[in-house]
Amino acid sequence: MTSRIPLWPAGILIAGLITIAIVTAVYSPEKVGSVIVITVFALAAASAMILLASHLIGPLLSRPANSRPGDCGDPRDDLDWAAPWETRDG
Amino acid sequence: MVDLHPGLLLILGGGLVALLPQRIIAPATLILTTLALVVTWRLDLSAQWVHQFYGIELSLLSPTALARPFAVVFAILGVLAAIYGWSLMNRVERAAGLTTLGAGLGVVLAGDLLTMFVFWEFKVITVVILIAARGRASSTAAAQRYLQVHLIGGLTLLGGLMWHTSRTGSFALEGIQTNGPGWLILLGVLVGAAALPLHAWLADAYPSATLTGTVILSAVTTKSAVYVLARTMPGVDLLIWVGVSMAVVGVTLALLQDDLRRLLSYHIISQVGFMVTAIGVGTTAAINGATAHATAHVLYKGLLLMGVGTVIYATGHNRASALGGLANKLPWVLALYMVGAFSISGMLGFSGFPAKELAVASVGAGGETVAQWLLKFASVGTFLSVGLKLPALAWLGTATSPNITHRQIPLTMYLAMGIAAAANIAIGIRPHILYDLLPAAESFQPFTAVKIAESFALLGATALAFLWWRGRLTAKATTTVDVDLVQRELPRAYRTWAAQQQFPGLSKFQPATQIFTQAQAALTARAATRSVAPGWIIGGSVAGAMVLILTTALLGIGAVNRW
Repeated sequence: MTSRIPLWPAGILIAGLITIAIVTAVYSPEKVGSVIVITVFALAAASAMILLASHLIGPLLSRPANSRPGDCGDPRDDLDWAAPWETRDG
Repeated sequence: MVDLHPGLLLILGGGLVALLPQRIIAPATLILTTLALVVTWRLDLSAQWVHQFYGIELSLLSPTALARPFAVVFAILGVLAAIYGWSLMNRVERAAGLTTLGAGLGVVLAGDLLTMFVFWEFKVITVVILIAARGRASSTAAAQRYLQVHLIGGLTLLGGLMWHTSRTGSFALEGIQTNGPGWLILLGVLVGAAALPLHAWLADAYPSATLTGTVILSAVTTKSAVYVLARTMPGVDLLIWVGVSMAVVGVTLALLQDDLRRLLSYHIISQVGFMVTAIGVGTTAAINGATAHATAHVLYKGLLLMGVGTVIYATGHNRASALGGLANKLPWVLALYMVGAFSISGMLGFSGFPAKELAVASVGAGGETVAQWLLKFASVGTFLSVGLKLPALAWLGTATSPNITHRQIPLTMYLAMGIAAAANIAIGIRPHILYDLLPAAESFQPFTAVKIAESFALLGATALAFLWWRGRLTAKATTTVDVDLVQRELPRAYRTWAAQQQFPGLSKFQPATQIFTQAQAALTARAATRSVAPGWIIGGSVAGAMVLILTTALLGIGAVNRW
């Protein structure tokens, strides 16, 4: 599950992003603005996408697996070859 | 020297494979695809196969600078699929896979609209077989839905083609205007490109096909449509916004998926959106960008689908919610999958970096700044879903199903993924391998300090947001509804109506489930004297539609001849 992923890699990422900004500022000062804009944009876009998916679009569009009209309705259809007792619900 | 047609070679080869003894069909598939790759690579741009048909000059083989990269990458993917599916594919799947690849090559190497259309429709039939070859009830149903959508798309394309030809007297692929017939042709091709809102067939059909079948489909179906768009109608403004909507909506829906192949399928819609946007811009640089992106996309999406296909093969599970903790058990599959994930995310050193940079930069250079930023937004979602969410759920953490068992993975699956990964890294390090294939000379420099810094900033910030909100993207055994819900509901509505017509005693105000139950009981009682076979209704509809297509085509040809 994603909730079990540790948070410490975030520290490395923040350090990396700051390093990129500093290196750009030293070697190409006129472009440091665009690198910062891209960073903030990506942070905002990714956060917006995750929150929209988990709180709005996901609940709106999600249905139990194999429950749509035309689906066979059998959860075992998700299994390629595994036996039903090997599933979490089986 | 007489030039061979690689598409016809594979189509005839597909027929041959259907007849060969079982023990030699795997090597025969590899030999045929390798031969097709050699023939495609050696194709001379001046090669022509021109034939007279009822007085019309048809060109079966007319390679162009635009067609070459598409044809070469289709042929490469064919070889990879033959290696990957060495011990997986059954006879039907091999025959359908080879003919699908052959039809795709036929589309991109066709020299006129009519030849292109014939290969286009032939591809629809072979793809239906490739989807149904998985042998599940869900695959057969998905194949039927695919056929329904593409028969409508094919008829639209044919109608536009005949209207266009009756007006201009020309079957030329170029010079199609944005008038009545032009819009019909565009609509027919956009169905094949899975443009919004005609996209749902892709996410329905691809995950329902066999493991190798999905790899072949990902290369041939939408990419042939991208080629036809680039060849026939570049620079149509509408395509910019069609493409941007595909890129953004496709990636957003990908983020919601639990089925591994369905996630990647929605992602194909998003990536094709990048290509369609660049075609809408229509400049030489933008067509180069769309072509580069399409070529690289075949390689890295093929690798990604082979990666998740290997997980499905090994564990028997399709859904992220049933997996987890595979990093220790399938570490090499994770490593190879991540090469594809880094490529599709546009990371430095992988094929997506020079390809996507060129496509997105060409959109900006064409004056479409808003579209360019929306494509960057979609790039964020790409890394989020394919590079972070999917591997985190499938490989990291602990296993969701403790009793899960693993099958031995054949070496040929590793070999195919290894070759695809090497190709992606080679293009990432030496972009001229890709740029030299493009239709126009390309001097774009992807390795500037600012482009590299921006790429790392985009991916790093996306990973940071993922870590911050990491608990929100959990895997649940769900599926999402899409516009194909209409297509799925219609048969049920029809059955309800038919049951009410057949058994007037049933109240129309009864719930549908009760009507079905009562109708089922009544039909069972009648079965001794009367046969009820819904299969023939479907078969008859398909046969009728095919006859309609052929009749319309012949009538159209006759009309053009008289004209």
